[in-house]
Amino acid sequence: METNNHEQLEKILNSISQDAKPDKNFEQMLKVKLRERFHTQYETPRIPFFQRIWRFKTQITATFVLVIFSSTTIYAYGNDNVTNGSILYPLKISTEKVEETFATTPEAKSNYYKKMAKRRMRELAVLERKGVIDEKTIKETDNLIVRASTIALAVPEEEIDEMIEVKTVKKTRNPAPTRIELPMAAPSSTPIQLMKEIPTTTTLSIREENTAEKVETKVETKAETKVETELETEVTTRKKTKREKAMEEISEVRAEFDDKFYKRTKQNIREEKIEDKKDEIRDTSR
Amino acid sequence: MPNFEEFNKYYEEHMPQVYGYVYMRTNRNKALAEDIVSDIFLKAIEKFEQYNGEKGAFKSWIFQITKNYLIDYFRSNKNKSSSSIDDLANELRDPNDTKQAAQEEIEKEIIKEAIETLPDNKKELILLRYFSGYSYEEIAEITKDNENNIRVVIHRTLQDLKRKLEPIKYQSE
Repeated sequence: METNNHEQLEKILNSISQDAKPDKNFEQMLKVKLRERFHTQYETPRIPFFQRIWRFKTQITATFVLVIFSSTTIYAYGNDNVTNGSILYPLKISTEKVEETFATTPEAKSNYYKKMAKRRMRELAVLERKGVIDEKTIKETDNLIVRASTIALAVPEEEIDEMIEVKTVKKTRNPAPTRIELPMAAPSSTPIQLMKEIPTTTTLSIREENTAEKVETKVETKAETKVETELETEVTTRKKTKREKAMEEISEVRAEFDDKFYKRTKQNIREEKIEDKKDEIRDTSR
Repeated sequence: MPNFEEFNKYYEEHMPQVYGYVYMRTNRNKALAEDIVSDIFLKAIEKFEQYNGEKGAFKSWIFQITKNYLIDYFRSNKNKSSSSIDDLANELRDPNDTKQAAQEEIEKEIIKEAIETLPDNKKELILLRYFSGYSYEEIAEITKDNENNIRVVIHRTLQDLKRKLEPIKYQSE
């Protein structure tokens, strides 16, 4: 009985196991799928990581060079310690030249030259601390200031939101009458004392100091007699123009340059000495 | 460098066993069993480079992959469908079946269900023995267990399964 039961169970289990056999179609389809996967994984040559990277060596090198170049350019451009004679100085100058191409209007150009002049002055200060007087840079700075001033004249006279004071000087004059003005008198007639007040007003317009432009009107005394004058100053305000502002800024730069560096060059020192000598001779001859 | 011919040889030799095992483990769901077996062998290809014939037989290696896969699968798919024996019996009963054939079908379903309710370790041994067709020695190699232990466990499990058939036998008689 026991054996029968056991045999029966074995029979049932074997029968069930027949159901648990895979389908032939499934077997074949899976084989195909496995072959494809195998090929992708093993038979396609697997390139090592560094070899894959090496394929892009040109692009990587170009990127690296570009990054280094850009970093160096930015460093050179913004650093006042990069002065004439430094290895990076030509790169700095070249970058500045590129910047110049973007200055298309007179205002932009004037600002550009002014900016460059200031840069050169900072470089001169660095060199001075090292005990070096760089005449080339001094000359260049001078040129830049001149160019800035020249181009500033082309800046439009558009008003800006800045006021300036204008001093107007009124001159009141009480001259004695001239011979022409005197009425013709008979010889026997008594001399006429003429003390007519002929008011003559001459206006002197004096622009604010530190501008390159000064307008002066000379007052000529017509009468030979002594003229008593009174001056009256009137102060008014008006809006500044772009040109005036540009000229003002350049004048500041000029003043600073003249004060600090202009006299440093040997030529300028020599010229100054010659001028001093001339003045001395002039004074002596008097 | 692995070659496909070698892998194919292993595939043809062991795929039916793996399928049988997975088929029973998935509650006799053919479609699911096919999907799982496909995934198992694709995974085997991925790891085939690491397979070292000297360390162990391919069947041990592929069954380890199979067991791990099924553990992960059941962990993420905890729903188990179960049907009562009566439902199964009704499903399988074909009006054209003879009484004998019907009886056999019912017995088969009872045993299948009974196998499903076995504890995992016993179920595994029964499946490897009767559905994968491995010998005791091969099962010992796969499960890394003692062959005698395996024989004893399988024998006792069969006793349990036999007892499941008793009520049916009495009915038919």
